[in-house]
Amino acid sequence: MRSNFSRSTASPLRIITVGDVDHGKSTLLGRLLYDTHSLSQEQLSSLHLANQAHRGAFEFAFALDAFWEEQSRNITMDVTEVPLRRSAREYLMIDAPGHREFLKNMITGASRADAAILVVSIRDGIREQTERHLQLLKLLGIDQIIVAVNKLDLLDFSQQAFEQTAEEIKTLFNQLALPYLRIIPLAARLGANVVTKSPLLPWYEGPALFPSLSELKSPLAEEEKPLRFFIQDVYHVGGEPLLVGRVESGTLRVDEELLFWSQHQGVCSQRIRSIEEWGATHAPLSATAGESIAIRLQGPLSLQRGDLVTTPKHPPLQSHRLVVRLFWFEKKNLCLQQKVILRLATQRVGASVASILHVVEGTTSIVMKEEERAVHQDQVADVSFQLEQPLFYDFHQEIPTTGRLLITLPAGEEQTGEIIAGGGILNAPYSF
Amino acid sequence: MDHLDFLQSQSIYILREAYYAFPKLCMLWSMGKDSNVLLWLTKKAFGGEIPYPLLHIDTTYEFPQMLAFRSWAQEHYGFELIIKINKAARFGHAPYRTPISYETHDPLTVTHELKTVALQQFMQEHPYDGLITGIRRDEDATRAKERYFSPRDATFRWNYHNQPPEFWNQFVVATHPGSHTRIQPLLDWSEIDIWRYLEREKIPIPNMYFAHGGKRYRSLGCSPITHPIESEASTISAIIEELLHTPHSERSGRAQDHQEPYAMQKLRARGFL
Ligand SMILES: Nc1nc2c(ncn2[C@@H]2O[C@H](COP(=O)(O)OP(=O)(O)O)[C@@H](O)[C@H]2O)c(=O)[nH]1
Repeated sequence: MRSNFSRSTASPLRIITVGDVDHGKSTLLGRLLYDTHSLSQEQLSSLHLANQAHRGAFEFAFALDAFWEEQSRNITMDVTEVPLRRSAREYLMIDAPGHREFLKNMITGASRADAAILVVSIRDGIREQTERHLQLLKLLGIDQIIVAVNKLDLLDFSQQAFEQTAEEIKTLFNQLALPYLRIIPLAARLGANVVTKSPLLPWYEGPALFPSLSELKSPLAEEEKPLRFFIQDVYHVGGEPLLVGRVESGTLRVDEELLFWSQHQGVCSQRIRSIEEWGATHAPLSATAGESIAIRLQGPLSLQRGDLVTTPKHPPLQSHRLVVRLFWFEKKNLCLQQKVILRLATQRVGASVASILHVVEGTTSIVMKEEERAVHQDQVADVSFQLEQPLFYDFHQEIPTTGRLLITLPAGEEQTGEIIAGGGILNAPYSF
Repeated sequence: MDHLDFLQSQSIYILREAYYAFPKLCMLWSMGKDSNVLLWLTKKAFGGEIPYPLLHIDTTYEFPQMLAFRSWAQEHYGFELIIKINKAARFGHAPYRTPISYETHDPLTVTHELKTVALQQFMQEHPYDGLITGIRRDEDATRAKERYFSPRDATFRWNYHNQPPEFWNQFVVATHPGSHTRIQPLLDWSEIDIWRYLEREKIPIPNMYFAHGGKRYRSLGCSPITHPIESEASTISAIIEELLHTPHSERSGRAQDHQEPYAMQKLRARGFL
């Protein structure tokens, strides 16, 4: 599952640290920032000040965990983002909380990441939360993962202990059918193998963590995929309607014959007269994935938010019934017949749970008895929905940006309900 | 698409979502560089129009050059401008017992009263439910944890203990009575991105950002507590070059940020931008 909404390939690479609580994610990032001189003088003095108020070992994590609640409890509560400055390539490091109660914050951070560093403490090894984070990365389409086995100082920098943990990690990645780039032994607090190779780990032949980041690839542009342009709104500026929205995938061209899909009026063929850009010296003739644009049509056509523009060659799917692999982070269980709202791009539709096919627990999938079927907090499950109105969509494997949706609680007319889940639309036989 | 195009598209998308979601929307505008990027993005998002009023929270400690820019911009762009001052605080009218001023109070108190409370008064007087702001993640460590759409209750508190999830560009709109949503389209922009964009788009900004006599302002706030930095940078490209090598944070010249540990967290938890 590829996650990234079309990003500029020239944008800084976003890397998230994941793993169980206390395995050293924030320390590792703090150390990376510190050793690459990415912290400003003011950030450095806050780091030292925060540490003076704190008993115990020097905590590099305080460079990121800025709330006093975070520093006093030594935890990360919410996701943060910091640039790694002093390198040829720009990186944005995202620190995400490991605590289960903060899983929705971890997903918020991971949804905008291009790559991940999985931190595993050598003393604790793989934990339930380690598995859950990996599973979420897979669901979010993050398939560039570097593994940092941390705290080697606690086991005397033992090669044997490292190799044993590395084996377990490899097995887990295999079971989840996820690739990993490297497994690096390090001691974040000491800075060993973080930015430079440490003499404390002479038996390790690979690179330190920081140089290995250069092996990560920038996200691919989605320009080559079929065109998907969802109408976001219609403005009445300068006479004729101005249709605005973002190209979710593919390329949209002026004068090309296109199909306009409307929930209410079916499908019509029409051409785009112009792409309008305020302040531009000449009007663009095309727009590619990721661009927010405004267009005018050659002929009259009444359109509204949620309508879709495609080429005749690649029409969308449209259905009353969808199977979604979702991650559920609401406290209350998801149950059969439950009513929810599905949001896909700018479409919004009421739906109910038709069936819960199975729940994915760690590396196995569990099929429950019909009457017991429910999805619990933080579980991943395949769920089939019955929609009140058909939705335009794609399979997630084919076009990620229009093949994934978000689930909220039902709410009033204008009000939107809380987000309770997200997921990708599966094609039969329902696998990734 | 280059990185600036990407940032621009993302911000425009957010502005359009906000315009769709909130019947009563306004945009904070402080005349600073980020505010002027927001204004520019607004024009791009809405075909050259500015479909919501701009709100300036005037602390009465504004630099005269900034006030001159305010008048110029109003004339130049023709937007609707609302100016809000917490007059009761400045003049010591009820519920205040004495006037609040930098001469008599510490920067955290003055900033809270003249900015946050002024905004609170405004939101109580007017039924706006969406407030566009120009904050960025790289400004300080608590802003780094913000959302694009950030709900605030009637007391203005930022419930950073339990922020809503936000992903795949789907935003949640809070509509509890008295609450509002902060819309923050510049979160992803860095200080350098802002300067590169100002340069590329030739966006007008106050000239206090440029060096005069060896000093320039990197961030602009109330005149008594905002200090210039040593700099010879008198063009945007010189500023970008300077920022690429500076060891200092952007807001190092803003006294209220550094008065005490967690100063920003305290200010922001109570509704400061
Ligand atoms: N001995 C040892 N302790 C470490 C190392 N890295 C981190 N720690 C400690 O482990 C604890 C948890 O680290 P933290 O970074 O907050 O973990 P997080 O919850 O994964 O972000 C802190 O007390 C760190 O000082 C290491 O390399 N060696």
